[in-house]
Amino acid sequence: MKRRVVSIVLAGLMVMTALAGCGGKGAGKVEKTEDGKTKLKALFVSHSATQNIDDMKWVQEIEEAAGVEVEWEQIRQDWETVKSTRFASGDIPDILINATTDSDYTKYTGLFEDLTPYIEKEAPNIQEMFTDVPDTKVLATAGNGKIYSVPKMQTVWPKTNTVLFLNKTWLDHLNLEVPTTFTEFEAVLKAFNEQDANGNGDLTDEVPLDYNAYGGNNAWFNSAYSLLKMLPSMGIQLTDIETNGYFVEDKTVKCYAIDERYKEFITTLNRWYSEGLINKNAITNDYSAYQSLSRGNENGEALVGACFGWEETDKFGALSDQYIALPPLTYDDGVEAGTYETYWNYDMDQLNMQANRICMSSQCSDKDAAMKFIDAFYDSTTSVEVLFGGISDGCLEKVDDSSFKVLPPQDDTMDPGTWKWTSTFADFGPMYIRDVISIEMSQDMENALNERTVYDEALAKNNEDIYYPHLFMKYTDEEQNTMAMNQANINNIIDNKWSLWITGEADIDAEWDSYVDSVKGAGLDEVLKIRQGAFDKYLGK
Amino acid sequence: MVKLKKYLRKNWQLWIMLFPAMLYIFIFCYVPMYGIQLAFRDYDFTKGITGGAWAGLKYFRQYFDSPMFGVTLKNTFVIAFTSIVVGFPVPIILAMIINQLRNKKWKRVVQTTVYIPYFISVVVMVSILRIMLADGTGVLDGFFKSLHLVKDNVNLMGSERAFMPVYVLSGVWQTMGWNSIIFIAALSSVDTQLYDACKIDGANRWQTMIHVDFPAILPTIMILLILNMGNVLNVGFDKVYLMQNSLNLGASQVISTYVYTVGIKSTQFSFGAAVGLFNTVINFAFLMITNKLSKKATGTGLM
Amino acid sequence: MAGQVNKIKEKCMADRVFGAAIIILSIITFIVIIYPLWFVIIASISNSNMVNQGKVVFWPKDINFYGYKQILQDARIWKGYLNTIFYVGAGTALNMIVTMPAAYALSRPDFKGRGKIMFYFVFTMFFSGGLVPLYMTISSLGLISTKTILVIMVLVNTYNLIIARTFIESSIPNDLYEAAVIDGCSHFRYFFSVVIPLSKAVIAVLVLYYAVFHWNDFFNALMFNSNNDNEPLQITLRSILLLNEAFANGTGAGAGGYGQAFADQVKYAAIIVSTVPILCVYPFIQKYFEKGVMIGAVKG
Repeated sequence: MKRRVVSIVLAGLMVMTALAGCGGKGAGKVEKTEDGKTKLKALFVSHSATQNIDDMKWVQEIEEAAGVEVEWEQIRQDWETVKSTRFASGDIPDILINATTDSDYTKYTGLFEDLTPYIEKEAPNIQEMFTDVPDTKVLATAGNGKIYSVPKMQTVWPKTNTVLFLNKTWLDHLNLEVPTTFTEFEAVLKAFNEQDANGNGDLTDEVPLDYNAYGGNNAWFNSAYSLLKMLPSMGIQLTDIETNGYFVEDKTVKCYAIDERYKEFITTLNRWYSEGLINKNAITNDYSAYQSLSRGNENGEALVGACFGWEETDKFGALSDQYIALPPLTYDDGVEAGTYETYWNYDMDQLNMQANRICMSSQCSDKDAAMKFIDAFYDSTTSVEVLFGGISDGCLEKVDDSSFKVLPPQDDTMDPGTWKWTSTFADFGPMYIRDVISIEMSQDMENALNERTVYDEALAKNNEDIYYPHLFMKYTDEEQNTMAMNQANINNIIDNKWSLWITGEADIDAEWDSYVDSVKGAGLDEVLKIRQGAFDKYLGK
Repeated sequence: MVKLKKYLRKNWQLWIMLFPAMLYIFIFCYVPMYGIQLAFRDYDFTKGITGGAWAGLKYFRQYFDSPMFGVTLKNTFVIAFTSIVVGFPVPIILAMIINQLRNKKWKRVVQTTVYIPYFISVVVMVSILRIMLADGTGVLDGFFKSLHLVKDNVNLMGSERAFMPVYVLSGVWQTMGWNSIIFIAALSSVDTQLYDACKIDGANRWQTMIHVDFPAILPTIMILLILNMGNVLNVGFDKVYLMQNSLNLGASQVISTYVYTVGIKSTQFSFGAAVGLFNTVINFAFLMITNKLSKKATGTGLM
Repeated sequence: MAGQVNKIKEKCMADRVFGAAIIILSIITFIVIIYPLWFVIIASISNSNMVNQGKVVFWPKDINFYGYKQILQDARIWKGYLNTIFYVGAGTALNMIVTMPAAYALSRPDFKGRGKIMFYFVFTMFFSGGLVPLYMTISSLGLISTKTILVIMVLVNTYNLIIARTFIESSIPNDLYEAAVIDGCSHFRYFFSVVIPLSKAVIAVLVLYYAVFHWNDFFNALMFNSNNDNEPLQITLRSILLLNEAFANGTGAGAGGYGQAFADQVKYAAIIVSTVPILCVYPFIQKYFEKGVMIGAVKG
């Protein structure tokens, strides 16, 4: 009896929850405002500094022009945590910006709409981008030939993310030349270490070489400011910042973490470390500690000789005058200079062309209107507004049809970089900035572009044989899963060993062979096979 | 039937008192429980959580066969178990000390400060550790090294051997005050007549503490110990992840960070669910065993 | 007689040693606890670069209130405070209304089936269906992005339930119940007129536990709310924190220039801003931990 009562109560509750479930969503009916505009819901994963989208006039303008009224949901944080739950529950708005990755379309089959027919019908701007820059279409197309999302084409950003900075003031103070090879660089670092390079009477406060490789996700291989950014000097072309240890040579995908050159490189670093040339705390320092050190001490004296960064004022603040960008070094440690080709990190696609900027839910009730709205972002002028802020918001000035001027921040406590992220979608937005457009940018961006001219020569050597475009690789869901499992096992070995070898806690010569075997045993061959398959498919386009 | 009537007449009020709590637990815990089967199925979005193909123990095997299984299991257990062994008695001792303080003002000061560290976020906790233990510049690093507790060439934040002690001790530091609150509360309800009786017997303060205070809070201690034993494979993700670096990876790769690393590139629902379930079963088993033992030994138990 | 005097002397001696040991231990604990707290305070007003380089040890350096300014000038923070206070108030009240009666019921030794009911609760401390089914359940109840869900999420916490049950079971003498039954007292009346007044200490603890849980709750708000108007304080603070996390991985300047020197202040200031209000609750709760507060209540 008791059991029956309980089960009746439980059954009642079940029905209740089930009924409530029916009341929820239901696609189909197009919602309109009183003046006939289509109502849409959109989600944008923004930078945490970004102001409310409703306060951006340029967005209002394109909504108006596309005849839609958008209810925005702005995610400022931890989207990675929330995303899988939201997607798996099927609870998504009509349009999503900066919210998806390639694997989402294979994992959540049917959640996102194939945009191909709508692009043909409603999207002249996107069509223009696909024709002008065919790579964007390749990038947009999923493994099964469908287009679930539209990428961006930013055009005006540099070709490499990372600059190796060297303290020129210290060089001059110690009467040294700008080094061009690894041996010369080592000599400079030694001088920084042994002498009083910053001239404050303290022989010990100089840190000759600093880098950042802190945190999970395989930071040594994936950080933009890791020492591995010098590896291209050994003929290993690194691309698109997060390499996970993979590169291409003779059109073959390889893992440099088990390459003899990597061993040689680590051996060199081990010697530098034992000579006190590399910051001992770098392995445990997080990014803000890394930034802090390069800002000098309380007396305004520089503490760092050489380190990696994005742009000099961002990295060194008031000390930025002391530093120069160091041209790529030739590797000559124990080998003849010229044994290896000298490359530099090539990040063109990562910085200018990210995929998955904007996509549409398959539940969207008015797909034509939504597509029209999506296309509006790719308009010639709007694209510039997406990146730098609206004209009517006072962030941007239109000089003529093809030239623009970025206006200084309205809040004078902010630098141009922060201002950009505050006032608009910035790099996270969908856009197509045409080649013909010229933009007068803020000082920091001009700096960033000017500094990088020292890499032009090395970057020009990039060619199809050695270029590994990570962004363009398409994998199936099963391949993604296998790679994720194996990579986790591989990372656990390779991400552990480098630091032990550099600090001398383990002996690389003694361990190398068994290391290579264990990395292979963790499933490297399988990963390489999957990667090669995707790469070959890409070459065939 | 008669029995049931009698039972209901006696207990209906208790059932009513239980009803809201049981209802909530039913809707928010038992209704979603169907998700557990995900550990035994391939995830297929189009068919929903319960619709994917039956995979049996595939995902469990994937974990058991992985080279990371032994390492992560060992690291997790060592960290969690040490946390219990070291972290469990400290709040009890602290509560007894606070309870024994005679100066009311001082007592209040101590009592209100010791629990504040609980509010320090993990991010800041790890930053503090990093700054204080930094090789060469850190305050604590210098302190330990001047006492020769730590060898000169050891970087405490980047050392496989130092990882577990640093993790556990900073955790104890952070939670001891907070965890002592329940014991302080329990001590406050000790019958004052018992103290008077002790005084008459001529017992000193130490003896009173051992013979009156301790037995009075023993049931609370046992219950919390049982609950704690259910955490024997629980190591919070955030702190380990933030403290993790290449040098200490051998000791700091735990189950939660491993699952995270696997899922970082593509979400692995089934694998995550399988590892989670494995974890849970072990934890639950430990709880049940401790519960049994405690019931036998002290008569106190959860169920 | 002499023996007795000796014994008393011995006892005095032992007590004195004991008392001294207690005081010394409490002082050590106090110092170990207070220094890092002090560090958080000075780090929140010092130049972050100096803090990161380990140069701020006992006194702040290059004092600046950028961190506090940045937090307090954000308009969202006040809304966050209000929302959080609402969640703490309403949530904790409901928590207590649900938890205490259940704890009482489970504490009755003569309540048949209580072991099984206990299992019903304890099981859910360990086994759960995962986030996706939970999200779908909440969504089917129509509660996603409502204030309601942030109030009733974790309506009863099994851990707290067990603590309350244990307390009632072990510190309220059963004779009281038997006496009450003879007087014809029902469970309801006994609960309200005897159990509640006698459980003030554990009620205080649970109020603290639940209030602090609601105060700190970040995850539920993150998962089940996407309406900015319902944002609790912790979510707002987190996005202010992220604001200063420059881009460790590429594409350039986050908080450059002036920002960097004080960016990390926000990290420490956020702790102070978010902790001070909840700390004010404790003294009110503490008074229920004084000895003998409740015993008189029954005996009288």
